[in-house]
Amino acid sequence: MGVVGIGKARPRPEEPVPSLEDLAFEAARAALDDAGLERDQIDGVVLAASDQIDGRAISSMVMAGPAGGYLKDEIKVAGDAGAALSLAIMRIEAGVFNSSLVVAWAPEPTPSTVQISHLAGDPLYLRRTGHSDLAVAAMRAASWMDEHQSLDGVSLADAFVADRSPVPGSEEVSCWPLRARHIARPGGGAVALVVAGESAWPDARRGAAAITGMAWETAPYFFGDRQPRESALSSAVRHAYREAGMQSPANGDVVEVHDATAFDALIALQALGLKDLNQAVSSPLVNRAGGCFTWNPVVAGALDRAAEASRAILEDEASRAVAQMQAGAGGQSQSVFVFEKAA
Amino acid sequence: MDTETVFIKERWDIEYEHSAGEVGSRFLRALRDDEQILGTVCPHCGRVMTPARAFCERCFVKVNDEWRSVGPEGTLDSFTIVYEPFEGLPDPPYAFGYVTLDGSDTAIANFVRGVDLSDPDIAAARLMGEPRVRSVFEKERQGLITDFHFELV
Amino acid sequence: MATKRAAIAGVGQTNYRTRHDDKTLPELAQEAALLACEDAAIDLKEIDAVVFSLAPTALAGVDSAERWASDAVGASGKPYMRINTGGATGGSAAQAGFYHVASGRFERVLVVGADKVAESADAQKILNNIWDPVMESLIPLNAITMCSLQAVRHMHKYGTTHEQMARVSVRARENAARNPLAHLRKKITIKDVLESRPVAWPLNLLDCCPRSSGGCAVVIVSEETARRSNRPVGWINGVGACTNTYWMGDKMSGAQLDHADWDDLAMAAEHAYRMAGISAPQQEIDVAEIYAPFTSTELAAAEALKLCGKGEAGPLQEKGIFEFNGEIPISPSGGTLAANPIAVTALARVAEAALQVRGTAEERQVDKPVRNAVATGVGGSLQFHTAMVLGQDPV
Repeated sequence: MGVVGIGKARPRPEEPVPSLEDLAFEAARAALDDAGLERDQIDGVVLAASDQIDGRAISSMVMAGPAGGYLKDEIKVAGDAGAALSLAIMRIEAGVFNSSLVVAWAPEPTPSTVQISHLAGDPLYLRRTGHSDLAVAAMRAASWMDEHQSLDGVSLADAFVADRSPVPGSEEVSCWPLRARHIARPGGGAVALVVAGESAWPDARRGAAAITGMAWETAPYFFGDRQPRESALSSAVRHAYREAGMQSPANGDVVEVHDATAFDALIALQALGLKDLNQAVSSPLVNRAGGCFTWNPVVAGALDRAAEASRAILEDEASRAVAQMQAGAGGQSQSVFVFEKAA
Repeated sequence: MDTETVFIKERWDIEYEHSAGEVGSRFLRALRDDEQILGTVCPHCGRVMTPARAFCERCFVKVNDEWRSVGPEGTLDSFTIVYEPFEGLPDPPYAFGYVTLDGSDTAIANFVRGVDLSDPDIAAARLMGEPRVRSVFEKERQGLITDFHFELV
Repeated sequence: MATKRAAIAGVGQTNYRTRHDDKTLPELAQEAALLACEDAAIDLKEIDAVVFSLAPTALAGVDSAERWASDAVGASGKPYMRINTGGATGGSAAQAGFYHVASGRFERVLVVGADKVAESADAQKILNNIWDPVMESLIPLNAITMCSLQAVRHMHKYGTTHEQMARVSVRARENAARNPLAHLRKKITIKDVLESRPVAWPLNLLDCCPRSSGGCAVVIVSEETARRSNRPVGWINGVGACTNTYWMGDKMSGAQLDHADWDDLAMAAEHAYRMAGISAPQQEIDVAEIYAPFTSTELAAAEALKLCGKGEAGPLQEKGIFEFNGEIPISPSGGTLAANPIAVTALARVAEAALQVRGTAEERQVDKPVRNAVATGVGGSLQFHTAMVLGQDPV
C-alpha cells in the first residue's frame, strides 16, 4: 500500500475566490496528474470533510463529483482525514480495491471553527460552559506544561512557530495559555492523495511512498476523562511503529505533526519519540513546508501532514517519514502513519 | 422521586459565505445583466452543461473558454407541485421542475408559474408528458437563480 | 474476492418512534450496541474497532455527535470513525465495518448509530440546505420533492400509476404489523393512500416515510471468530456502492442514466452480486430489504436490483411476488416507510436482512428458506447507493 500521487489546491490572494468545488477538483486532478493515472484507473474515492465547516448538510452531495467520485464507490468519513486514509488503505488491503483517491477540503472564506466546534459540545454539560476546540486545546496545553515543568513550554512553542509562520502572530492571549501566535489560523483549500496497492505501483509516474505502519485511536470525549492525557496518541504511535518495525524516528527521518496549535505540535513530537524538543522544534526535518502555520485548511490540514510525509519519500529526500494527524477537541482522535521508500 | 425530563433549548446561527467561483459568478451575472442562461462545454465529451460548471465530472477536465447561450425554450422533463408548507420554503402551492433548454445537454431547475394549481391531478396532467416551456426573466434581477422562471408555451 | 471473510454475528435495534425523550443520542446508540453484542454473545470490551453511523448532525443539534457518543459505544481506546453519506450512511457504515474485518486488521467490529429526529422541528429545512448553494438552494428542493421528480419520470417512462405506488405503502404496513420495533404499524388501504393529504405531486402523505428516532447496531466478525462461536451468522458475501452525479438535471430526458431509474443502484448491486457469485438475482435473492423512503422509490429499486425488468415492478405487485409470502418478499420488516431513523435507516436494512438469513427474525421471519438476502441504502439526491448481499453460507 502506498501513496503514488499528491495534489493540493490553495486559494491565491491575487485571484478570484475559488468555489469549494473548484478547490476539490483542482486537488484531485493534480493528484491524478502527479500519479500519472486517469480517473477511470481509480476504483474508489474516500472523502474527509465536515458538513458544518462546509456550511452544507451532506456536503459530499455536491462535492463527490469534484473529488472524482462520479459513478465510483465513494464514501465519506466525517471530519477525520486520518481515519479516511486508514479506510482507503483497508479497502485496498481487503482485496476489493486496487487504488483510491483520498480527498479533504475546507472552504474559503473559512467560517469560525471555534463557533462550529462549540456546537460539538454536548448540550447537557459542555455547551453552556464555553467549550470549543480552542478551549480544549488550551486545557491540553496547560495540562502538558503542568506535567513537564522542567520544560519551558512557551519558549518551545514560540520557537516552533518562529521558524514556520510567515507572519508573526500576536502576543494577545487567545485562550490561556494559548496566545494568538500559537494558533494556526484556519483557511480554505484542498488536499488529495492517490493511494494504491503494489500492483499499481509500476504504472505510477514516480513510484510509491509505501505505508509500512498505520494506526488510529480515539480518547474519551470529555477532556477530564483522558487519563493518562495522551494515551490515544501514544497508543497510535506504538501500534504504527510496531507494524513498521521501528522504535523511534532515526536521524534523517522526516516528521510531520498536526500543528493546529504549537502545543499540539510539541505534544506530538514528544509522543513520536523526539526526546530533545529544543532540537526538534528547529529541525528542518520537522514540518518542512511550515505545517499548519503556513497553511491550515482544517480537515485537509490534517491530510496535508500525510501529503508532506509521502512527498519527502517520493522526492527522495528521506528514506522514512512519519505523519501524525488528529481530529476532535484536544486531539480526541489520533492517527499515525509511517512512510518508506518502496522496495 | 422527580421523574421530570429536562429539555435544553439551543439554536444554531452560523454565518457562511459561499464563493460561486469564477464560472458560477459569470453564470449568475449573465442572468442579472444580460437575461441570458449560459452553459459551459466539456472539451472531451462536448456536453453543454447548464447551470454552468467549471469542469466535467465525467471526463474530469476543466471546461474550455466557450460559453453558450441556451434556451429560451426547452422541455419540462420532470416537475412536482408542492401543497405542503415547509419552513424556509415558499407558501404552497407552487410548481417547479427540470427543463432541458434548447442547446443544452443537461436540465436546469426552476419554478414553473402560470398554471392553475388548485386541482393537483388537473395541474399535473398539464405538466406531464414533457411539454415545451419558455424561460421568462423577472423585471428585478439580483444575480440569483430565481432571476427567471418557466412558463408553459 | 475479499482477502478475509466477514459475517454479521449480532444485531441490535431499539424501538423506532417519533420521540425518544427517555435517552440521549449516545444512550440510544449504546442501547443498540449492547443489544447487538448480546446477540453476538460477546462483551462490548471485546470489540476491537467501532464505526459510527450518523448522517447530518444538524438534526440532532450536536455537531460531530459521534464524539459525544464515543464513550457510550465503547470507542474509547479503540480505532473509531464516523461515516456520513446522507441517507445511505448506514449502508456505507456497514461496508466500512466490513472492510475493517476483510482487511485482516480487526476481528470484531461494531457498527452503530442512532438518530433523534424530533429534537429539531426543522428536519426538512435542514434537508433543504443540502443543495448547491449557488445554483439550487433557492429552488424548493428537499428530500420529498427530489423523489417526486423521480416518480414523475418513472410514471412518464413506464406508465406507473399512483395505485401501484400506493400498494407499496399498504404492504409496508402489513409487514410492520409483525415487527414490534417499527414506528408505523397501523394497516392502511390503497384508498387511504390515494386520499391522504397531497404533499408534493404525485406523493401524498401516506406515500412518504416517517421521521423516527432510534438506534441500530451490527457486530461484524472475522471468519475465525464466526466459526469459533458456532452461532448462526449472516455472511457478508458481496458489497457495492455507487455515487452518481449530484445534478438531477443531468439525469433527465435523453440522459444515459435517467432519474426515473436507479441505474446507479444497479451498478452497486452488480458489484455486490458478482462478489457473492449471484448471476440470477430474480431466482437467487430470497429477501430484499430495500431502502425506499417513498412508495415510488421501492418500485425503481426492485427493478435496479434486477428482481424484475424495468417498469415491471408496479404491475408485478398484483401477482403477490413481493408480498411477505411471495417469491421475493420486499422489506418484511416494514422497511423505511414504517420506520426511518435517518442516521441508521440503511443500517436497519442490513440488520433486518441479517436476521432473515440467520432465521432469527421471529414473527417477521418469512416462511420460505432464506439463503441470500440483499440490503440497500440510498442518500443524497438519490445519488449515493449501497448494496450488501448476505448469505447463509460464505462464498
